[in-house]
Amino acid sequence: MDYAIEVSNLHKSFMTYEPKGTGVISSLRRTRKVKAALRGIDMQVGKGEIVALLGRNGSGKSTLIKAIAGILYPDSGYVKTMGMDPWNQRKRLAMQIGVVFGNTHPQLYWDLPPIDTFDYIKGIYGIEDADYNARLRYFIRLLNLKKIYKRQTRQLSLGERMKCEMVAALLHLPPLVIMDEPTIGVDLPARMNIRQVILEMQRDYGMTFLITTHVVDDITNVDRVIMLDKGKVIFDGSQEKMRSMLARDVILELRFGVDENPSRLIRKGKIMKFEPGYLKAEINPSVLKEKWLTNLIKNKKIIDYRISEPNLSTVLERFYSSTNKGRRKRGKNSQNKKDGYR
Amino acid sequence: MSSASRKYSSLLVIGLKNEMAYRWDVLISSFMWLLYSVIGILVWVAVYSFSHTNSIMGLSLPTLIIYFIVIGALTPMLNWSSIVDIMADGIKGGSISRMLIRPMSYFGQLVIIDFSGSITNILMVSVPLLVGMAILTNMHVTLLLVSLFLLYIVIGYMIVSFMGFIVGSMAFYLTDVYGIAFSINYGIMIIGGGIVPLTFFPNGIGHLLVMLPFAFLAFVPAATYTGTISLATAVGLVPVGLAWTAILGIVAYILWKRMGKMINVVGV
Repeated sequence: MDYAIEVSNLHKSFMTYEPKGTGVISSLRRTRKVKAALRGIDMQVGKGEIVALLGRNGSGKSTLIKAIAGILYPDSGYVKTMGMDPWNQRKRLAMQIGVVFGNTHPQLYWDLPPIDTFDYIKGIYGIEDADYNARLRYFIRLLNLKKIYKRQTRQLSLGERMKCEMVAALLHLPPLVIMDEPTIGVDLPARMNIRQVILEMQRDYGMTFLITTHVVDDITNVDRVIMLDKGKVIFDGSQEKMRSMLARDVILELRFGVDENPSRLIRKGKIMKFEPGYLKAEINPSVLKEKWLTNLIKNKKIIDYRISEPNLSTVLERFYSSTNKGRRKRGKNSQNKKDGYR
Repeated sequence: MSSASRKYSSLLVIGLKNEMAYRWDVLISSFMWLLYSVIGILVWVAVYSFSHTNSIMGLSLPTLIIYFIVIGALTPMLNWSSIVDIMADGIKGGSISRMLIRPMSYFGQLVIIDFSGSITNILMVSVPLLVGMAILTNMHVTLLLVSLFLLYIVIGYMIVSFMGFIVGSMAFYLTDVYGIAFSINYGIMIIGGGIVPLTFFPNGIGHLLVMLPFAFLAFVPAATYTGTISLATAVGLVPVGLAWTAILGIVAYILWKRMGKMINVVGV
């Protein structure tokens, strides 16, 4: 397969300082600490793929994409972006990539209207007049920018700015687009616009997208999900695979007579909602085969029922809480070891 | 237009637009640069008045006034503040990422952004001061003098840009370099002849200071324009200025190659 991004055994650490003690003196007495942000990352992104990079805050997502974009120099390991060494061939690579840094490092000039930034992009990427005008018209229509692209950037809402950031990253039609939380703080209509643009760009130009996000809806249309935790890849596969790995339980919704009390089900499942005549719970699929439940249905004590798979946010919530538990457990174990327990 | 010149000219255009976004601010900051000249002149008028003399170390008061008008015209061009500020902010706050995703050299972008910020001051302060002074003082302006002066401005600009880059690179280690840059800047003003002409220093020290790169930011161009140093001496200093430009350029390049790897844009 032809890869847009190839990463192998990538490591990156940072020096951090922590104050010792409290009060004003603590700012003078500091402890130097090395924080490992990436700890042996292995991943590939094929050309034309849309890949979501997930992980909790501090898991290494942003560090990874900055190493891929040629901004950070890795301590060790191998990175090839569009077949180039991102650090040593940074300027050449920059012609091949578009980057959106969410709201943290906007490309748009704050005191100027977005159209000035677009003109600047046209100049630095050498976009021909006719192409530039056609692409601008296309994005203005697709992202509904007609009323905003000539207004000062600082007067635009976050969603409007993010849509313009998208245009700034895509105007030169880069084969690879890297987006760091492009929909953070953006309302639903703008998010849908952004998603639509990503899909159209992939379909029409075969662009590759690597998107870090915390917004679950953002990954509904991606080809693949890569999950990071503590600087390591802990999952790499399709959404379906992720769902089946993490979501072993199903969601059962029951409507029953108000006098009924499905107490056994309450004991066997994780209750999500319970009110007279209605119950929603996460249960192990094996429970569905138990005789007492089929009897309830047969005897028409249950008026209606619905079985569904948990949605992605539930899956991710479960994943994050499971890694938290893992962390607590590991922490406890290491404390136990320190304390001499076996 | 070549690909590189097209890129940098686009950056210059948007830098100028950005600079002109708030016109009153531009106008008022230009007056601030004029004040720099006025203060220098007033101090030396006071010194000459109280010492009851027409000449100090061979320099008359009118010559010193002209010298400080030229210094006032040069300072908006030959100062490093925005290069250091952009670097320090970028390294500390992470906005360096925005520059590194562009298909242009980091140093080139810094210089163009800095220059686009200086253009309005050059047009509103430097050019009127230099032309006005030449007309009012009936200066004998020759092509050689103008060429030499412009050459020194170019050399001075390159030296100050490389020095700004070197000082800004300290942010890779120290994160915040505002205080250091401020102190070094004032030190350079003194030993570069921006506050006191280098001819006022004791002979040995004065001669040594003229050979240092800092002199090319104030004393050498100002003394060339005002005739404080002879044309022959001024021409003789060109290779010195070029040598310092090359040395500082090499140092800046090596620093970037080594320190650029220390970029630590985490959590931002």
